[in-house]
Amino acid sequence: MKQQIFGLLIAASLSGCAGSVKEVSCAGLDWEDFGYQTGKKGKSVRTFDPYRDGCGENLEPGAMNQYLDGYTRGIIEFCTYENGYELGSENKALPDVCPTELKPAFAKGHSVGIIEFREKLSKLKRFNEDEASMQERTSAEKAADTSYGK
Amino acid sequence: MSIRRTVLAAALFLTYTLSLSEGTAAAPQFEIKLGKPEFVLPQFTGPYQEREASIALEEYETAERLRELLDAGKRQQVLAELEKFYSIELSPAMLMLQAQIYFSLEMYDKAEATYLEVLKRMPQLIRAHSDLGQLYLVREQPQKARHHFARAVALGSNEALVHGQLAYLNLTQYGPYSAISSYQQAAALEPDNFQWQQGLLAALIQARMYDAAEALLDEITARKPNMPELWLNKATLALHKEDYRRALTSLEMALLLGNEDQRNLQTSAKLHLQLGSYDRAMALLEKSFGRNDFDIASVTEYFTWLSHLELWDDLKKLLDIAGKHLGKLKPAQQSRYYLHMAQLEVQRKRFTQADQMFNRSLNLDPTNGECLLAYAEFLTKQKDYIRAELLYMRADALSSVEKQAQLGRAQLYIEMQNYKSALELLRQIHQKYPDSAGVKDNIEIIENIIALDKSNDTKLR
Repeated sequence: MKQQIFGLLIAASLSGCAGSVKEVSCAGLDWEDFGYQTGKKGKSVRTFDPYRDGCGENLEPGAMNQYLDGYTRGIIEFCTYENGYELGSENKALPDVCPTELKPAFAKGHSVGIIEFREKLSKLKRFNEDEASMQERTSAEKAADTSYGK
Repeated sequence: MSIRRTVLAAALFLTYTLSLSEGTAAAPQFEIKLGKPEFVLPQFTGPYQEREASIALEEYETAERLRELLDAGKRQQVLAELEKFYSIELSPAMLMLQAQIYFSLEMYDKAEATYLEVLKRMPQLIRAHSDLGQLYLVREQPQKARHHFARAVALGSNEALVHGQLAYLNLTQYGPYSAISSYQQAAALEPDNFQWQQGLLAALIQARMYDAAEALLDEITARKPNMPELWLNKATLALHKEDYRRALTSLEMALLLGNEDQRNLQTSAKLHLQLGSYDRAMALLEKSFGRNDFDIASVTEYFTWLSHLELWDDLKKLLDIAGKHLGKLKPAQQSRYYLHMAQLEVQRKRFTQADQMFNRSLNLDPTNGECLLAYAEFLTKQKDYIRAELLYMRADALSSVEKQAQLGRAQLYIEMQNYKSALELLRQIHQKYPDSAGVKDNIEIIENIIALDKSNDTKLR
């Protein structure tokens, strides 16, 4: 069994105000699978930064290359027109993780998804407006009937 | 565009054939029906974009900065900038730049890994294939190099260098036929590049397409008449066609232009000997023997040649010339020289001198089997049977001439009318070499002689 080596690093939040100590494993991981899963979920390649920076020389030899091999496979699977479309249609932001050559198709899918999302939204809005005006009309008619009956 | 070019080419071709038929109006009319020119449209293999790599929009600023650093020759600094990124964060174009810098800094492992990374992402990127081909050439991995050059060409590379290198690798790995077309392509793209023409010429010669090679050679020599290599090629072609006079003219031209290769001098000398210009042959031999790489094998070759033609005076000249350079030879080689001298003296009927030369040869190399046999044969003719027998016995101990020595000794016994010894020896030879032609017949003849002698003796008693 591979020996577990750990590295410590200070994981700073984006605001840079707070810092916390995090422990990462420097050896014994299936680096390629880790990379693949990271890429496939559309996470940034920089997910590896804590390992690279925190482990330094303790990082298992070949770990980064294995991670990148897996990540490349994963990100190629992620950065498709279909996935872009799915994110767009859920009105999610376009992540900046795709390699240059895959970006156009992914972004196009996202745009189409966003347009559809917006169309759905405006349809819903119109529907709601129609409903509201119909309700208003019905209420007005009822009120008129009541006064007429009197 | 390409169709227009092909139409133009077809029109020129027709003009050419028409002018040919007009020019040969007086000659008998032969009608040749030519097929119509065919157009082959390039195969559609996907969008061209996939074969190019462009910089990503967000990389322009970085690219501009790196370009300035590169212009200033700061390649290490450019690398440091690029290495801040994970490879997947860089566009293939930037990765190519990184790979090229690794390559130029002779960091071949990193260059290879980076090119392969690019190809993983853009398998049809022509530039990556051709660069990787170059890298594998440098790393002496010709099969991998050929694979990537072939991919580059298949993807539409129009670089002469790629075609030329693919041609070279095909020539060395698969023979001439697979190289010719690529060399032609390279030469078509760079008609002035001598390297492609030379390669094409080599491929044509290897493929035994001598007429095409000759036509190409004529064209090149017209442009570069002072290149000895071209004249050597002309000579080679003429030799293939057994046109010795033309071969010699071309070879002499090459020598005149400064080619002094030992083998070329010797071939030239041989051709002169064959065509009867002995003085020039001797002059060339003198020049050839004067070189440091003088070897006795060539003397033996000329000796055999001149002996065959019975040109004893020229043979004497040859040996005199060779004699001036004897110091460069090992004792065994000197021994062969003195053997030739002895053989010449025998031909000139100067037997005392011949005897001396044989002795000198054997002193220099007591195991010179050829000399032992020749000397024994000489002594047999001189009826010096005892010395001859001793020499044959010495030769008998040498496996290379054992059989000839025994046959020679048997012959010697016959000359001495010692039929009993001759018979005994011939039987031994027949037992050891049962397939030797004539031995069995000789045994029978000698047996008959011995039987006849016996009956004569009985009658006389």
